Amino acid sequence: MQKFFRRNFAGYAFLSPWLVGFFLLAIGPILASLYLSFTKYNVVRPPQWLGLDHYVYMFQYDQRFWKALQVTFQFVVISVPLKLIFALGVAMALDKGIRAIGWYRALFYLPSILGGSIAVAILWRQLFNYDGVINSILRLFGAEGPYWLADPKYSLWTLIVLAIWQFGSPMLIFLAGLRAIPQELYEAAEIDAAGPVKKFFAITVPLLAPVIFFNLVLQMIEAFKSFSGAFIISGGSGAPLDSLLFFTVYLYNEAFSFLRMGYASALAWVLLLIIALFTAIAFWTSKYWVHYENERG
Amino acid sequence: MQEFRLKKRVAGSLLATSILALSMAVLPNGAAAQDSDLQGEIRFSWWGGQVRNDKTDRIIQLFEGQHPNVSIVRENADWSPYWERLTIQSTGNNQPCAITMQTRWLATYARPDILMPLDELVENGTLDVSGIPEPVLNSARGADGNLYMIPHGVFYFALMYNEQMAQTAADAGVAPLDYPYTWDEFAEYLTAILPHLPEGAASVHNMGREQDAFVTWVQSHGEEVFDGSNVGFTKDVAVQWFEYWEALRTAGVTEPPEVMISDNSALIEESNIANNRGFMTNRPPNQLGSVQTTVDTVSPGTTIGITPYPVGPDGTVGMDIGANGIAIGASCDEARVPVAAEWINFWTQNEEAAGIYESDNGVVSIPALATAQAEDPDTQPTQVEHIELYQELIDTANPVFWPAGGYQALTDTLNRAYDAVAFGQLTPEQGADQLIADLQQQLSQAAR
Repeated sequence: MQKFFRRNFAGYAFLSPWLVGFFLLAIGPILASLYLSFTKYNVVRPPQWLGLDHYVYMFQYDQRFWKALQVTFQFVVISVPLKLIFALGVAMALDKGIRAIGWYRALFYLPSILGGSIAVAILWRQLFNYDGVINSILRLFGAEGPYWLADPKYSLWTLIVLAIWQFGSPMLIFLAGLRAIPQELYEAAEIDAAGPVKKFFAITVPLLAPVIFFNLVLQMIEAFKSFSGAFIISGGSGAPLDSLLFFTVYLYNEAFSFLRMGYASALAWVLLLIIALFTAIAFWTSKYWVHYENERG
Repeated sequence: MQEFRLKKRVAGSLLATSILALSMAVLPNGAAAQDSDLQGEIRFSWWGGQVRNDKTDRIIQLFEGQHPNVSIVRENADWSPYWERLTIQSTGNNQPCAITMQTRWLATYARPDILMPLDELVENGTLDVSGIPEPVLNSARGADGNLYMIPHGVFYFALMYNEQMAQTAADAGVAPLDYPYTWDEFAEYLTAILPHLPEGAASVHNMGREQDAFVTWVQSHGEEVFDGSNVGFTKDVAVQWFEYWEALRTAGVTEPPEVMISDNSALIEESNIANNRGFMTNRPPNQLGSVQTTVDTVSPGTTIGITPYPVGPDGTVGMDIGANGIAIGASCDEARVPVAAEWINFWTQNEEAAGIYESDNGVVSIPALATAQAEDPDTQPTQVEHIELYQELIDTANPVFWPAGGYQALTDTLNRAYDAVAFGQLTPEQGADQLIADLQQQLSQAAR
């Protein structure tokens, strides 16, 4: 054992900043939140043990929990595929060897860098306000736009559009994947008189499947965790009519507005399990549609 | 429970009546004796926007000028983040030495391990509370009877309206509102004024989801908002509230729900009242100055006035009042407590400081200072209006006792219940049922 440590000391020494951060700033709070999820804890008073009460209440009585789940699933199911389709479309357009490709990549990636920020959420609110840019443009054409953010019919869609706008990150990954597809395959297909649609479904999609899978998992997790846009646009409450009550917004309110830290911790663990479950499902389905080049047939 | 109710009623009426009674009291003797040897650094936290930040900064500079060895670290935030940050700081025992506190939130934090009980500092003269009316001071006590903050401003609630629109309607023959007016007379006036407003403008912001207005409604109908840690009002009064605003909404007197929500979260410059799209709204009267400043830019020539909330059918006034003050954090070490105490004395008692602050966060709690401010020709006219309306209303006000978590709970549950009614998802009866059930549940959770 002593020999092992002597031999690996340098490695662990270099790793130590990360290890300290991981165990103190990540594992510690994670385990603490698991404990707190079984307690009543309002921050200003010591935790009181409740056992499974929070979980029972959540699933049996808490209608807002189910509403938050519904809104979040709606957001994930609509925004993730649209974002991936849009990102793939732009990546394919940029894969044509056009001039100044580097500038285009940077330009399209920019929203992803800004995307999760509070500033962009505030900008989005200004764009979609009743007197905002979108309605001003509509008025130029004689149309009167709705209250995009205050009408529950439209509010979620504004956030879906915001999510799609942040397509830069998956787009870059798609672009790298497209570059890795051998051109000979397309040339051979053309000799066989394959059209663009046939080439897309017979060559691009199968060979890009590992990248699509990677992007799908990443974007799905990101969508489940989406917070700042819904929080800023709904004024932190999930309004109107809880149409923007994302799971994270509900969790945040329970924790910091109502000081129900124990219940919020339970919500956080449920969210973790949901994300883990859907990630596992994605991995399970991947064996049916994702094929790797080095796989043996 | 009966004892509690009695205590609350006595405290409430005393608070309401004695502030005015003391308004002619002799000015306090100025700041407590200054200690030139005072030294150390303390953190001071408060909520508010840029105007308040600037005023606070000037007062701090004045204080630091008088105590060269003292330094005050500024910690300001907007309203909601302020409380979130204080909660987190309290968890880590890292709260500032001087903490701006409010009676509506006091029940959540009024514990000796979060805020320092101040009675002893008052008794030994370290804290100077001279001139602060006893009921106002007592409103700063926790459930354990300890004094947890020194009140420096008393706030109340009123409505803002567009004075030019009111004049146009009056010129057209609509009889002006003459206080006291009942809720029914208020609705009649708003309906009568509608044809004389600019096209597309609503008579009033839809206040169905506004807890300040709801509290006033409940109390003006002779009921309590809270009964200790329980819901204090009946289903009937909630149903009537929803029906009142639904009648105004369907008649076009107030806004449709999407406009209501949009206006509710709007900045002043985007709001309907600032853009001549609405005649009347509910905003805290201490914001009159900043609202008028914004309106001067957005809609030049428009002036905003303030008027009280309507009274109940029998003339009962339902308006809540509360106090803002400064508390000392329990984690403030012994060496810094004298600095924090002197800072509180300076803030609450110094005439120059009060003059700079101009009752920005509630009318200054010492009545003589309030009167002096109202009479000072240098005070902004909007602040004079704010103070004078306060002095007119204060003897009839009806202070609410806010239980732990009560403010957040009422805001959240009322918002959701009325939104559901206004968007047609619930009837007023169902909305009232939801409101009472959700509110009771949240209050019970907070109290457990």
